[in-house]
Amino acid sequence: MKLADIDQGILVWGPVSEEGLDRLQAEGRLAVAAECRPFLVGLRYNVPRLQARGIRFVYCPDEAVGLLCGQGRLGKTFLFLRRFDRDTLTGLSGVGLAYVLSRLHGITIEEFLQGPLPAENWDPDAATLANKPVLPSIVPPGKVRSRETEMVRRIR
Amino acid sequence: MSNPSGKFQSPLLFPVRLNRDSLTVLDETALPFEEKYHEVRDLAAAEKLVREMKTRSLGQVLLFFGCAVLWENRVSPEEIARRMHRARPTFDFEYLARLLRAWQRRGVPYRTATERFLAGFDAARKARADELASLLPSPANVLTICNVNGELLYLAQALSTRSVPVHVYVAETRPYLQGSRLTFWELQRAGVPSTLLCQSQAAEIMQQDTVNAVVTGADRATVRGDIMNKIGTYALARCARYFNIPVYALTQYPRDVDIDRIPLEERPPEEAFLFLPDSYPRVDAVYPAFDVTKKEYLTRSVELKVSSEIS
Repeated sequence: MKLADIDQGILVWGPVSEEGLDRLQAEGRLAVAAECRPFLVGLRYNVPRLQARGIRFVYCPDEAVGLLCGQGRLGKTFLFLRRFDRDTLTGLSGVGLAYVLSRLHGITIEEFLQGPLPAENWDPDAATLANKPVLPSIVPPGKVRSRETEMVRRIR
Repeated sequence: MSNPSGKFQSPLLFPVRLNRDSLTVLDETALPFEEKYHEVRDLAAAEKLVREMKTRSLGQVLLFFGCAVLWENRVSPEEIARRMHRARPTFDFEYLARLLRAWQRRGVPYRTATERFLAGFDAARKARADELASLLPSPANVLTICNVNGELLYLAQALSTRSVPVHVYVAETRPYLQGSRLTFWELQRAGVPSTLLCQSQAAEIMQQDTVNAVVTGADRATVRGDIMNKIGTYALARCARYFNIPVYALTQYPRDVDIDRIPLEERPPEEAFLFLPDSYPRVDAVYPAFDVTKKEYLTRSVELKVSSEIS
């Protein structure tokens, strides 16, 4: 798919829930499934569920989310979170970028509790991709940002 | 603080070598697992390397000049620019062709002109790194994206000279992972303190004040001050502006053009799945390779001051 084919898409960030899938189906718009590094939740968790529901979607690297926001190609962002309250949002590592970019571009955000992530061998950080090292030697501890969850303060 | 003494010479500093009748081109997609080179003997092979991202950034500039020198009597600089532009529409190869023509009019052979240009180029890179070092706070906790062909090593040296501790946070830069495979590898090899992270983790480290500057390269720059660079740069700049973190762009050859009229290169969807095993699903994907960051989101451009006057 080309950028020009995306109009008022819905960015999907974090492990999608059944409630979120229902909403995506009801919306009937193109879902934009970001890869959601480091865990690759977008590809490993969300894509099969979007396919199973027959929801039209396109996959994208996380790096493209800013451009999609900036070009006005997203109509909404669906964030799937561990928890959220009036001050903060907490989700898998990386959720802050999707939240901040969406807010800065005036994109409507809908918040959901995330789907149940099974205990799998998820990539914990940038040192591996699909559980394979990205560098010839093991990245020493402390040389890679390893975080499971992330909390972002709401923008007022 | 480690002492980035410059003992490690990154192959990315000069990724293309001009031989008597061929060009030797570093395969930037093979690093860091393998330091592999391609021998280029015709323009079609050069164009293919650019299209396949085997070389980019400075490599594509050197490749352009190399092709012009080797096949001076067979193909015009304009034709080389046209072919390269076909492979990488984001980059301004036409400007390089005009430079060569200007030198030719002054009676300077392409090979001489290219050699002189490159001699000045490396000094200019070091000067640019020094200028950037003068702008950064102490300690300098810098977030960067993609790869600027070894110039961050020059920056680390310049900061070391000023006794400014540096720590570089490198965004992995999916899907090609130039941040992980090139920049982080270079910095580790040179002993520069650095941390690898996913692009998506950038907002968190900005919110936590872990970084106090963002440094990025630029494939294109305009006189107005806008840049076009690797996809993800715009997101970093917007977040940095929100978190009050300065953003510095390393630029060269700004042109008087409307950056929004330059087509954004979009890569084949299958490249969104690079480095992933076949067992992972392959689905339709969108993969723009570059984005535009307007002047409003940059604190300052630090321009390469290399003279186009070589005679």
